[in-house]
Amino acid sequence: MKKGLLAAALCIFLAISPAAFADQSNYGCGLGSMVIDNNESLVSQTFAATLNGCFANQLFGMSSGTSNCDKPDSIVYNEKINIFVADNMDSLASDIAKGQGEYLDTLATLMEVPADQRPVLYSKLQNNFSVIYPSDQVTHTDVLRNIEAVL
Amino acid sequence: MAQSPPDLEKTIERIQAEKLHQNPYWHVLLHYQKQGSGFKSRVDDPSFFLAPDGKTNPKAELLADVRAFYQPRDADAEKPHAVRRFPARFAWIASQIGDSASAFPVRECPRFEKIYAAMAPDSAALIFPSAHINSPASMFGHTLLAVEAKGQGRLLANAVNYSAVTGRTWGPIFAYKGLFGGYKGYFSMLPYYDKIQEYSDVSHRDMWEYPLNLTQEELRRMLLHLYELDNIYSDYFFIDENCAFNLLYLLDAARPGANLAGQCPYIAVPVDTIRLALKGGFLDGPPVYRPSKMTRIEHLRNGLSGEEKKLAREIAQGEAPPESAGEKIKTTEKQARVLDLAAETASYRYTRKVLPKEDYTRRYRDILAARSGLGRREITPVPEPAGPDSGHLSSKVWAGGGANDGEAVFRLGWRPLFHGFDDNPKGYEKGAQIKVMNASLDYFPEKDRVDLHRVDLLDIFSLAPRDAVFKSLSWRVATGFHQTIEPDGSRGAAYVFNMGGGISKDLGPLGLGYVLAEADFAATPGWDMGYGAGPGLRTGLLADPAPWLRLRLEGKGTRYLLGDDHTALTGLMESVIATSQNTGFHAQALFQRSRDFSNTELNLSFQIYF
Repeated sequence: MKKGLLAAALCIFLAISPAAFADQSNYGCGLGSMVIDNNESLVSQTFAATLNGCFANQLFGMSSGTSNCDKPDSIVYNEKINIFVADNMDSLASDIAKGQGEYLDTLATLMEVPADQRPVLYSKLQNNFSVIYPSDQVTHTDVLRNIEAVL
Repeated sequence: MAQSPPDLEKTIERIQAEKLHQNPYWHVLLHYQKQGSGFKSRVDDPSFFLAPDGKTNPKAELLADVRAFYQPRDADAEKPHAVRRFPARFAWIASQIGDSASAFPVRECPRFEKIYAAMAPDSAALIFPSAHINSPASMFGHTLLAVEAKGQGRLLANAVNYSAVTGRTWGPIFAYKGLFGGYKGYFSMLPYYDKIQEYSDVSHRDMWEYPLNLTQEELRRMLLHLYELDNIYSDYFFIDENCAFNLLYLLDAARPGANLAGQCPYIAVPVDTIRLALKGGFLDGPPVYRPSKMTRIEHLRNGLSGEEKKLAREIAQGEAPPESAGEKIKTTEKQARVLDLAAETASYRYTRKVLPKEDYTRRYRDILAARSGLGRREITPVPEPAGPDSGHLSSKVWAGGGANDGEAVFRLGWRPLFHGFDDNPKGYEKGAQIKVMNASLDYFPEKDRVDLHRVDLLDIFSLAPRDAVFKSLSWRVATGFHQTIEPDGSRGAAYVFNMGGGISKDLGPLGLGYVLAEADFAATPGWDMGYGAGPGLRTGLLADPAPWLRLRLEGKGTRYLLGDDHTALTGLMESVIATSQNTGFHAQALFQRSRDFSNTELNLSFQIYF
């Protein structure tokens, strides 16, 4: 009974606008490649958020999402760093510009930089922001190469 | 080998003698719930069971599994061995039968061990992304789990999420299927930073991370169980068998005897996961608050003057170059703050698709380049609001009394879900109301009469303040049975449907001010033609001056043009005074005028949440 009433109420409400469900899966390797809000209307946001990530995926068969990107030719950087930088381009750029932040910390962790050497690393990266990000067209591969070059 | 392998039948005998199929942990692993005199698993995928009647027969399933575990290593070339398919069940059964376990021909699952080694789980946290502003279903929030490796940090954690698999569907069908189990729910695992992007950066939902006190052994048991649930579906029900409910099984699998799923209320809302985990002793210290991009933008703006905010906006919109921050603003601190705000605003506008990608990437990069020249600046943390666990429970009853046009009246009410403007404000998203089945009765002792005061089947009200950056809309939709004034001045009841949209503004100490244009429909046999429909206007103020205090003032007018042609006016003053997390007073004065008649109602009630 309760479910029936609620269903009726929700149906009335949702009939107002056809809900659109976004395929939020546009990962890439440049700036601006984060997931963006593909919901077209106010009402369509309704359930997409609750049912986020609506995919029947393989739990333990994660794909990196970077298969279309160039692999850096440097041996210094492992796959994990590549994936992390590619997936978090915008947030990492912001942290590098500020010389601090969780994304920068994570990069340092992946690069296995000990805590006492991080302040030096962070200010070096911050001071060389324009070298690491010479234009808005940089890919994560460029970023990693440029980081390696300034270190 | 030190001892001779006991045979299968002996093990089976032992399991039967010990009634292992009645063990609560077996019921956790198979998601069995009591149903009538028997049991039924909440899992609907047939491949989760080896016995033909495994879904409803814990004993048959246990015996079928044990038999399968005794199969020789290469009994079936097509399928993986049962031990490799169900390593959690195997580990538990082996631990229960002690020495006899060494007789199993296969005793390990290499694929799981590889994954386990790669994940190197060290700790876990329950994650609660709070309400999505303006999105009613997500007003309940969501819960997921983050499993962290030692020394890797939270961002690199694996987020374990249970969600329904839906396609593009027309709204009502979607709602219907969601409520009645028409969708399949699966567990998924993604990097936690993806979830942060999704919730914090795109959906603008603040997140709460509750650390769990799971030991290594418990984490292993949890992942073993999760491994068995890989690609296994359960029918998804929004109301009960949802994300909140299914995560409880993972905690139950981690810690035998916890039985959180069994304690879950009939209607599970995501915050119940947190509450049950807290009650069950799973939480380890206070939560970590992760403000959303929207909250971060608001925080950055709070420290700036009008001029500075304007400059940040112009930089974000490309109307001023990032360098102008250095020219127009004196201190380096403020320059940095203006540029940080400009970068976040540009990013916000991009995720809302207001700013095209090419413009965004160029501008974002240039703002950050200017920012990088200002050195490392102290970042003031975003003030942490009260966490969702500090909010009232989802159901409420209330009792009180007052006067209706001078006549004494006693009132009783009940509301199973969830939160409204007449509730204790602490721990809930400000300006978001979602009430389901809100019902109250009035008793008039002088006449010895009981009246249905009102039934709100559904009442959603979303106030999202609008300003120069956030062009948010506010809206409401409500339907139910309300008291009305009949053409002869007597009190009656009508079915009403009301929806509207408008804007709200943050008026500082006055609270949120709002104005909505609405459409009203009311049906009641007492009215001319039996109904009335027409436009309405609603305006009000909602203020939470303290975590224990809420005030609201509202005026509403409806001009019924169709059906019974008349005008109705309503004025409301209400206040909530919380006396504890789950108790409080609600005082209300309601004035109604319709045609030439009016009605004044005063009420004071005590509210208890449960």
